Amino acid sequence: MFNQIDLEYNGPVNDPKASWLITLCSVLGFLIVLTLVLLNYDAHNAGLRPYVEGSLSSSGVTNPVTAVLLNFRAYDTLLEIAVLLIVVIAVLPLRNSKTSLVRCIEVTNHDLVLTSLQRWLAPAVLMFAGYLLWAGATQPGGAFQAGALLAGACVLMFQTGVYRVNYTSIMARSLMACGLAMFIAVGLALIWFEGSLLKYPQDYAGVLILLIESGATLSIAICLASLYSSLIDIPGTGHAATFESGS
Amino acid sequence: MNLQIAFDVMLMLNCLILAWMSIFSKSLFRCIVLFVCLGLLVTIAWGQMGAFDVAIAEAAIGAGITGALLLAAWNRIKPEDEDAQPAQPASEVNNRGAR
Amino acid sequence: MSSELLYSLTGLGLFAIGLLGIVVAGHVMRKILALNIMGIGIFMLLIAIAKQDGSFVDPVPHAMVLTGIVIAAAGTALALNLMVRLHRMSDPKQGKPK
Repeated sequence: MFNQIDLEYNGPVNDPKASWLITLCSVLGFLIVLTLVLLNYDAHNAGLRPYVEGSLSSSGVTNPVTAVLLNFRAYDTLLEIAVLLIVVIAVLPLRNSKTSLVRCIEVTNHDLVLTSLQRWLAPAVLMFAGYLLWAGATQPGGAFQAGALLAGACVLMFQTGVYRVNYTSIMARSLMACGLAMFIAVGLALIWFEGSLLKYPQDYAGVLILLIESGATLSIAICLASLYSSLIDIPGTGHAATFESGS
Repeated sequence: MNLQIAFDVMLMLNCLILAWMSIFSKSLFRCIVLFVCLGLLVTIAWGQMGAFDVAIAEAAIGAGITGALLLAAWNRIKPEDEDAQPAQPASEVNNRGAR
Repeated sequence: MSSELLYSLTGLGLFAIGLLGIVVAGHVMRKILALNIMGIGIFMLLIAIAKQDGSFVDPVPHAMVLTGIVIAAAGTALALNLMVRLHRMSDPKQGKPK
């Protein structure tokens, strides 16, 4: 592959095999270096586990992961929900915001299997999401898992097409923002009362964490479902036309 | 204990093979399906490592929502005549696309 | 060879495969898949580091990975939207985005 060298050529790469080989070699070298680093790394320090264990009793929950997410490093979670909201704002096209949140549409062909699957599965998923949210205080579970399950239920609802959720209505927008708004409101109130951002008083920590988690669950679910709906080409609603005129 | 190690080795080998195949397979649809399979295998791996919170989130988000997003996007960009007849030029285009 | 070391090495392998894919893969969607696989490799390394010996599990990397999974899904959605937009803007006669 290197046998013909043209000094005059000034364009883009025209030998995919050579670029493949070069990339493979550099990635292999990188991998070997990283493996050597990993093999020489002695992980005998205790990590952050003792600190988490020590202050778990004052965090309001008994699941250490939830305690880290929503109490010790709550600032990270706040920023994460903000990032999710920013992505949704970037992705959702601006279209009819006057219509209601959920709308029944006429369908010509009923898919019997999908409709009955939706009818049986969606309430069960809803209930399981509520259980995960509640169990997140003591067991594995929490806001992200519950929100993702709810978003899965919304995607399932989307498949049959009987109900159509309008993700740009005022209601949906406020639901998307409610997680971040509740987080910031609690944080600001805690600045007022406790003097520091997101430093919970010990008696109310469990209640405040559950409040923030409920708002975060709702907005994560609506955000993920709207991200899914932004990728769907809906024939009847002029979604594609909006894309065309936008571009 | 030996059985445990053998299971881990098999799981990790499968993860690596699936990762390779989910990037460099010929058909884009096959890539997406293999990526969803990789997400489910990784969920098992994280259950093995005792990270049950992460395993639940990965099963719901990494395998479920991301798979749905990828399939929806594939549905938007797929060439119109691909499912009609996957002829020789189409496969060659995909093959060149993999390089 | 302990199982944590095995998982760490697999995380590195997944990262390398994703890096190779993101450079040499042709289609944009393959690059997005490769980016996700790099993310999975990093998550696996973090989780293997979190479990150091026996039943000793550090919850802080778990929380970081949990955050990262949601962010990776959001980033994937944004990238896929940009890809679909690119595909619609490019000429359908001249072909698909490579």
